[in-house]
Amino acid sequence: MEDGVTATQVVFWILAVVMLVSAIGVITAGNIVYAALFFIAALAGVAGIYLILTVEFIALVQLLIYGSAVVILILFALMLTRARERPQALFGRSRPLGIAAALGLMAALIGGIVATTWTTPESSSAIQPVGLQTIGDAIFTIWIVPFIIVGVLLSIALDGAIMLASPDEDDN
Amino acid sequence: MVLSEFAGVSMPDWLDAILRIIFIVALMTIMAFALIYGERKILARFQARVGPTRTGPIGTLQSIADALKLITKEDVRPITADRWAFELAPYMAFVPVFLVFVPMPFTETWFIRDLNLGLLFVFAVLGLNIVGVVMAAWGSDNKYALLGGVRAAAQAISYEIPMLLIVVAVVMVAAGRLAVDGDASAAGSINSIVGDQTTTPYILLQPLGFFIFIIGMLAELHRPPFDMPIAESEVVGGYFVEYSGMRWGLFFLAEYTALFLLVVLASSLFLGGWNWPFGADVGLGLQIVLTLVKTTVMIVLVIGSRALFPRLRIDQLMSFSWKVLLPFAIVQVIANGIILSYGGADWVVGIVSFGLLVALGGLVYYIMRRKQGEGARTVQTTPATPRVITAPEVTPVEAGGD
Amino acid sequence: MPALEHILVVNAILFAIGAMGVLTRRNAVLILLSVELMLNAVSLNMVAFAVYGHVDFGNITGIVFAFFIIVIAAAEVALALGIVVRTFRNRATANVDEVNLLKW
Repeated sequence: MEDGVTATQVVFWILAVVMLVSAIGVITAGNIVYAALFFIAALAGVAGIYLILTVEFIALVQLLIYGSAVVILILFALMLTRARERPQALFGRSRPLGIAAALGLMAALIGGIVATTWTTPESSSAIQPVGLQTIGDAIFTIWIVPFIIVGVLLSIALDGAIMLASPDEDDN
Repeated sequence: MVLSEFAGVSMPDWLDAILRIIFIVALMTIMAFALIYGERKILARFQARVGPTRTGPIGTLQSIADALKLITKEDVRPITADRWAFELAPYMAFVPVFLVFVPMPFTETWFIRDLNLGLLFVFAVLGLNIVGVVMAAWGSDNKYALLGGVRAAAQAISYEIPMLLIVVAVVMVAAGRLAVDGDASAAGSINSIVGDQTTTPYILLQPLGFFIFIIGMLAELHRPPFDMPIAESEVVGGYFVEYSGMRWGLFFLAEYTALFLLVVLASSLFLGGWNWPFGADVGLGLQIVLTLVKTTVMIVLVIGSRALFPRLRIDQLMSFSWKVLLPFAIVQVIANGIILSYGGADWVVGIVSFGLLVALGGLVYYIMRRKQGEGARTVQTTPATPRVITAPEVTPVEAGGD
Repeated sequence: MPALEHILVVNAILFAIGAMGVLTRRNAVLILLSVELMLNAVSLNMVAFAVYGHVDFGNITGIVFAFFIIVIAAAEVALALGIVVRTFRNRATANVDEVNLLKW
């Protein structure tokens, strides 16, 4: 694995390029539904990188929750709120400033990453896939309280979303 | 695993992969042809007709004639349609379904790969197919297509949740049983779930699960009585109303392939798949026969439901999922957890699940009686109140044509 | 396996793209999409650290965190879209610049 470029690395870079190009598509598309569709491609790229990192469980959860549920919610919202679809309304006045700030952030992050010496394992054989059982044990023993809190949070969020989105009694 | 073992020869990985893909494509095409023909014949029998008879012996070549017609048909794109969404949507709807073939165990050794997270994979990937449906709905720039797509998405999300929960319940039972042999972590793999059903099909342990799974399956596949997204009399065909030719054919192929796959999944989870309930060792030939018989029985059930049940209303569909199926699925998961973690026997699980199924039936019966009473009162006091009544669908078969 | 630095750089770029979207877009749903991109970059980072470090450091907290991030993102999307739909119903716009009742 250490010598030269392996097939995994090639796949990783392909996925990374797909992911980043789709992400750029999300933030530059002139059509809001296109942005949502690019978002799906970016999510698929992220899921692929999870697969490369040998965490199939997170990859599948990503596809299940983001890929179908979140994307469908977003498409619904886009369809419900597209009264005036002017392309110029998609970008604010401070666009150059925003781009500059984000590029600065990117430079700072990459600089930090390059400047740091990471204590990664010496050889790839030290990187072992994390089994589903390990993840399950961790979630249901060490992280059980956060897990329960997340469950409560989800149900509260569900109620809140229904409250927010449901029409008032006197609406019609 | 599939072909190299079957042919008894060793081959390089890439050749094996290509052969598997060819195998899937061939299987999928044959299954779709057989299903289209079968649907027309079975539906015809339900309606006291004979169905296709002209093409080939007793009409067996009808599907091929349909396919030829679709291929040679002009591929039309409406001028106001969104080009990219419209052109790409059939593929987005089709490819996820195609991927679901991977963990499906047709026999003990005939599968593409036995994924340890096979069940999660099936639902994660199959869920993506709705993106293609919404793309088609939005890209067609047709209000009926949009209505159909929104209905399809709402329906898919609503019925995915009880279905997934009930699969969780099944996996809990499987894990409890597999833990006896010391390998509970394999409970997510479909093949090991099937392998565990040598004596007891899980339909005996999870009858409520089977019921909810079948209902959810019909809803996910847009089969009657849950076919509001593609109902001709309501949304003139739904999200693929603007499609013609092979693009329409891809939607159709995706739908029938998904039907086949979900039926195989249901028979694997609940009926024992390739397993024979009386006796452990079954040979390859008998396994194929068992899989075919079980899937055929379930396909006839699914197709028969199209002839037997009237279409629901969309609000009835949504409230049935959220107010009836989801609570019962959650109760099933909790009950399984309590019973299994306190070391309850398998038959306790089965009896509790059966009790829940009876309770569900009773609840539905009670609701229907009450609604009927309300309806009668409404008509008496205010005769002007419009009641939406959905008539049973008696349209002729549209399978194969559009 | 790709090197850890490469994954981190890719994630940093993804995060910056998301930030750029938040700063330049004005449609509330598109801002939400960009926030989701940033969240994805973060959870990818956590998974990368967990996978590369769990043998040496003996825990997989990063993976559990990624799981929680995905779950909470679902809750967040549901709530945010509820707010967007409600705002749209009241003010007939999904543009965050025009939702300015609390501004001077």
